[in-house]
Amino acid sequence: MGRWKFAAVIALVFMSLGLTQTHGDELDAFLDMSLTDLLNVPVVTASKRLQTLMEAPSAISIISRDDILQSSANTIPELLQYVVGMDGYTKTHTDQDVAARGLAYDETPKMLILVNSQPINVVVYGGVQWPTLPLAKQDIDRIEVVRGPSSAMYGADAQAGVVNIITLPAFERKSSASISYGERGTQTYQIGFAHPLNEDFAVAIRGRFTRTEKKGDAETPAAIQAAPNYGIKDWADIYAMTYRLDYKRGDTEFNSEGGISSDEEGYNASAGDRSIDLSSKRTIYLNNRAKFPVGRGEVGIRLGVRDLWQENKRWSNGGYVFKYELRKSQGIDVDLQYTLSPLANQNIIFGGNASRFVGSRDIANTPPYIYDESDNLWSIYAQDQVAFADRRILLTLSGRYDKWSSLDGEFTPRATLNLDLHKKKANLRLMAGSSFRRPSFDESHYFVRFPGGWLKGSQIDATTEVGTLVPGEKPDPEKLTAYEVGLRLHPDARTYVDFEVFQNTIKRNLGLIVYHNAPDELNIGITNIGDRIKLSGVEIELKHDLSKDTRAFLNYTYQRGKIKDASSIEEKWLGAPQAKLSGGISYAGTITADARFRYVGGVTYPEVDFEPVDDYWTVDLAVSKFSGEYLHAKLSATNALDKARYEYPIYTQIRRKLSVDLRYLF
Amino acid sequence: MKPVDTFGQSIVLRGSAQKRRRIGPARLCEGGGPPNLRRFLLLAVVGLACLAVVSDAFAVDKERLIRLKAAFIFNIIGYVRWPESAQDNITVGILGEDPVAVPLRAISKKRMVKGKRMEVKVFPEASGIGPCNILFVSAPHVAALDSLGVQLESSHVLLIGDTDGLAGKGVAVNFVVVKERLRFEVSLQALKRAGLVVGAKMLNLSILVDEKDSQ
Repeated sequence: MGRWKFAAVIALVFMSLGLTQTHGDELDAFLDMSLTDLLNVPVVTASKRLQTLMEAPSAISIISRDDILQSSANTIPELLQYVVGMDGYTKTHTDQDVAARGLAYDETPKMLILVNSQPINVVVYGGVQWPTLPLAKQDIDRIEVVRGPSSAMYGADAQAGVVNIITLPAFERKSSASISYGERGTQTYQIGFAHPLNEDFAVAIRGRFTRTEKKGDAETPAAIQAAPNYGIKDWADIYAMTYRLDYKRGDTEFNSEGGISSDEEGYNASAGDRSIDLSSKRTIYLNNRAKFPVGRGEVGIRLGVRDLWQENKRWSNGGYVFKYELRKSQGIDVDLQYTLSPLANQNIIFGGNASRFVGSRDIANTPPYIYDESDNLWSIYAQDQVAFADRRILLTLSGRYDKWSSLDGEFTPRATLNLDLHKKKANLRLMAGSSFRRPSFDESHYFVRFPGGWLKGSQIDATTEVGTLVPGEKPDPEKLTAYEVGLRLHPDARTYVDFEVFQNTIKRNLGLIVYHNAPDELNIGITNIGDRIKLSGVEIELKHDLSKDTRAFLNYTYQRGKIKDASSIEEKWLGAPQAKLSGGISYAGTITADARFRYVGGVTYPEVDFEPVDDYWTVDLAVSKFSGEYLHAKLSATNALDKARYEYPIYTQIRRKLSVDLRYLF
Repeated sequence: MKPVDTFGQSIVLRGSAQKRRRIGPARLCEGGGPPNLRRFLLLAVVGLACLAVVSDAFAVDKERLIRLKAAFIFNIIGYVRWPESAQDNITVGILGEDPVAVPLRAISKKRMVKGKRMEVKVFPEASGIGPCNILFVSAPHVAALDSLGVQLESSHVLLIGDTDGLAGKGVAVNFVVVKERLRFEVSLQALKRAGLVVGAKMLNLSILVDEKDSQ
């Protein structure tokens, strides 16, 4: 990296409230601060409870605990689908994906997913095994969604944005037992204990079993042969356990959190394939954090671990075909961060990170192919926010340098200007920045043979069917440059409106290339291809408190894109819904009711040669009530009108899911 | 031709997908991101270092101040040790119809403190003060402390106020605004009279006030 880049990073010595400015409510933000932090909060002219959202340097949405508990959503991706600018799909009950701004449907997902700042993306391919995450809805405090390039603070994989799932401290959790039962055999049983051992120390544990749907009766080879027209059978049994320890005394905090899940799942495809996959998975994550004051600021230290193992067995047309395995997908991360406000109008963060990644696959080739790779990463980052003119102007600069042992270093900057246009009731945001995605182990080292051909990762040497050698080469990270303009309005205490316009350009796109193609031969691979993808769109979000008990929201997303290859042939980008309209209303009184709708239109998937997914709309409902002080009952219906849809072609057809949930607090 | 099971997901490649891909590898030029952007940012950082010291005076935002006071009260509870009590709750009383009750009630619904629930009670008049661990005394009711202060302290009540000079008149903790920041004064004598112990970290961050100085 050039000297000037390194100097720029070092020169970025100011800290921002960037992390804390992601809190949706100012009071909540204050409650998360230490006494030292509170003493540094300026008592300035400000708008009301959404002040931090108004001044946030990124396009951000918060899913509150009320949203999480009151809605009918069973999984986090189902919640995220209602966030403006976010796209998501369910392929199977354990294969879900989300991303922001048109980048959901590519081979490798482009969102960084965090649990209390611990990355949980699967190291080997970058996606997230959402339903197998050992995380219970009751233990989530809020979900922060940042749309747009975020590598300047979070590094690789935060290309399209970041989702940070913040869980409740053990002090806030309650002991409970619950049962949920729904259509087609959906079941969840869980029990959790939370106990403060003394004033400073609390622990919580939870165990859970989830069955996403009743096991299909075609999960055996004999049943496949016997069933002439069986359709999609998609089930999963997931066992999970989580724990959390919290210690807090004065300004010093320590917490340790983790979970383990074990999953058995099955999937049978139709459309002439007549094949069945049975999978076993195990997921582990651990996250330890400490925070304490040093000098005029605060130091945060984090040590986290993530691990996924997966084994797949396949049958086709009644016969056993093969077994393949994700043997290792492990990451260990250490973060160190310092936060301070040296001046009344300035906030600074700077920090560093060291990580090690290990990935290994056993792929079902003849002869078998195994790769076993590892890589190390170190990075430094800084963010500075400075306020001028009675806080009417906010300038936020951030930058990060990442260096892997196997790849060149990458520097990503971001700059945001927030302008208060009218007495804290209107805020204009201008942002320019870049982000990137590191090639995954799969993209670099995968190799699979199929009848008449192969697919290879970028670093693998292979020979085509006609004898041409295709040498391996080290891929470059995929780079995204973004420009955003946002206008936030907060005309009164009950109303919040956000308009966002964005343009993202991706260069050095990692994609599939065809080396040789003949009627019975196909050789393809992953590499940096001569494509430039340009995505642009508009996001509009409205939130309004109709009364002290009733809230409503409405959001609209329109996005489109073009992909241009090196020969300047331009085509429409097929990778995201063109339009999405969502809305909902929640009432929290004696009973709690939540009703939402979502319309998604114009979706096509580039790597799948089928008809586009039909435009669809869905209505999701939930009603709940406390009976006495300890018993809580909830009736939920996702896709309440049972309008069957595919969110991804030929895979699981989404039907209505009606369920009853009973929870006892003790 | 249909390759399957790459990256844990099935993919199907046929003619339409290939239209978008050139045959043979190709690369864009090196260096992602517009170079002018990076130079601009470097200059901006240098400029910021010079401009950062410029600061305008800020007007006090009353609503933010109220929320801050509530957050401080919530935080301070963690540093105070009361005599042993079998109560499950920590009760925060407010003497007078003070707006700080609103954020305190919001806090009590969503947070626990020291493993206990926080309960908020408003006492409109001094004559109606009930049992509580903390009593926030709003400005209009400061005079009531003359007669009730001793009684409250003997009940181990932590008295908190936000009126200038109150710490010097016997209130244990008093909020003041100093250089656009909310600070708190602490009277060690008042704490001692109330039989309360406060953590050293909180005392280190406070403005210690000697009651003799105000007499």
